[in-house]
Amino acid sequence: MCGIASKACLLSAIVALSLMPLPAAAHGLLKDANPAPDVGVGRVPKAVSVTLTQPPMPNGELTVRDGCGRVVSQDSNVDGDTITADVDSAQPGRWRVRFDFVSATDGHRYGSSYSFTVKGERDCAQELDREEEEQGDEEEQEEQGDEEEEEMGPGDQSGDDMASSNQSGGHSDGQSVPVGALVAASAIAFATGLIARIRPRMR
Amino acid sequence: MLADPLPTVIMVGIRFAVFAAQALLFGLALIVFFVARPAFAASEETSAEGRSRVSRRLARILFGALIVALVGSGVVFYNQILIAGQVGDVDSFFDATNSVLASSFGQWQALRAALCVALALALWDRVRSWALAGAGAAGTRPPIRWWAGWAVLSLALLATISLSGHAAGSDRPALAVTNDVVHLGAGSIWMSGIALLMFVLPAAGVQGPGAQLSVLAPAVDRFAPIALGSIAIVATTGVLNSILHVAALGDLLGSGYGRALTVKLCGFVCILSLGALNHFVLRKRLVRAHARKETTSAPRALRRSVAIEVAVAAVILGATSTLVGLPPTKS
Repeated sequence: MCGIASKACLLSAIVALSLMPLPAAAHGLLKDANPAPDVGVGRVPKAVSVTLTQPPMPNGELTVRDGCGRVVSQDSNVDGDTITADVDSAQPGRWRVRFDFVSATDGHRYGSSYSFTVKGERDCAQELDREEEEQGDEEEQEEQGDEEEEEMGPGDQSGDDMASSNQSGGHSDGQSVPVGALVAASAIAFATGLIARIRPRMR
Repeated sequence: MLADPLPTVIMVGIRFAVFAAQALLFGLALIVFFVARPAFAASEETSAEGRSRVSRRLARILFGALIVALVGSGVVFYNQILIAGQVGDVDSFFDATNSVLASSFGQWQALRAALCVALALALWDRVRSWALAGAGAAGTRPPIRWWAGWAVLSLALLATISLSGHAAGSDRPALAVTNDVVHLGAGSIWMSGIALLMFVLPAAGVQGPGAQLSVLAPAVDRFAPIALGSIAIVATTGVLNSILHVAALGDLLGSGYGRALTVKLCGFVCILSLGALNHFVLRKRLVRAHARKETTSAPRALRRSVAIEVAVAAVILGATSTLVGLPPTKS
């Protein structure tokens, strides 16, 4: 009996392994997108959104690259089956949108990308200058911040904390853990189990 | 960033164990009620010791299945947290857990654990004393609510597979989930039937081949129409599942999902052939030998045939465990 069972397990392992090489990939995931794939739009969009065939978990992510290949998307927001990301100032050209998410329905991780075109002349050099300028400003601010932190002391880090909480708050989910429903369903299951096992009264 | 999710091979193995356990937990409720009990009621030769051995073995299998289902589901949930941690700016285990619990997938997984505990409450210390009590021997029959509670809780447990799988993500979720639950239920009944013949009933033969035959013959006779009905339902719902999840016929060989499905189909054809052999040849030989009180080699032949069925069932389950981890070609 053991021999047959181990042979069966071995056989199913071989079958499973032979089927394995294909990873889970995007499959007809995109229900709708704004801007839509492969279209040309007249001006830089303020936000990009994708609506999926399966609702994503709250941590679904949208990454948008502009005509210069720079990441221009801010934090992603998940609402139902839609992921949206606001867009910073960006350059025209061929934009690429990449979305990654874990399906809230079947738990699989999916990801795919598409592109669209923003009409107009792009100036990546100007963007680079502006970026460097911004970077310089940030470094300056950081130095000031360090000085302020030193002044405020190690116990007061409200500025940093606020920045990080704002970032994670960017993942607004519209979904929360339905604790009440889960507890109620579990209680019904336990009650069913307990009632089932009660011994019948002896007559 | 959290740790990487567990390797696919390990997850296929865990899903295999969880599916088999859940199938046994549901299927055995019906098979013991509709096959084993009537078989013992019809048997005049089984001793109290034989019954006790069968009950003990049944209890061991069921509690083993419960532990496997509970631990396996825990691993699936943990792996899902690791998968969630790979996407977005989730950087703590707590955030990833929240993300999973906020999804319907995570909620069904959490409910699965509660259902396992509830089933343990219903079955603990009852299977050994109640499963065969009053079936053609002294003892009080267990209340019908015990059987109903067992069947309902284990069916709910089985349904969590469909509710957190491809069926729930299909274009027509209500139809796909209902169809999938019926598919799994019928498959579980068939699988539990062969498990009963292979692993449980042989324990009744403590007094020799005569006692074994006196239980085996009525059990096989009763199981035959149930197996036929289950297989017919599995075939029908399987075809509908394929229509719902496979985009084109060529996908059956051209995609991972399709290849796994093709292995299932091949296994199913083997099962049909073996079922026909059992039904038309071995069952008749067993029943005739039992009626005439003859000695026969049919139990051994049946055992060989059922052993092959168990092996094919394992292959089908392996293909299913792989299939659920792959994307369907239609969505």
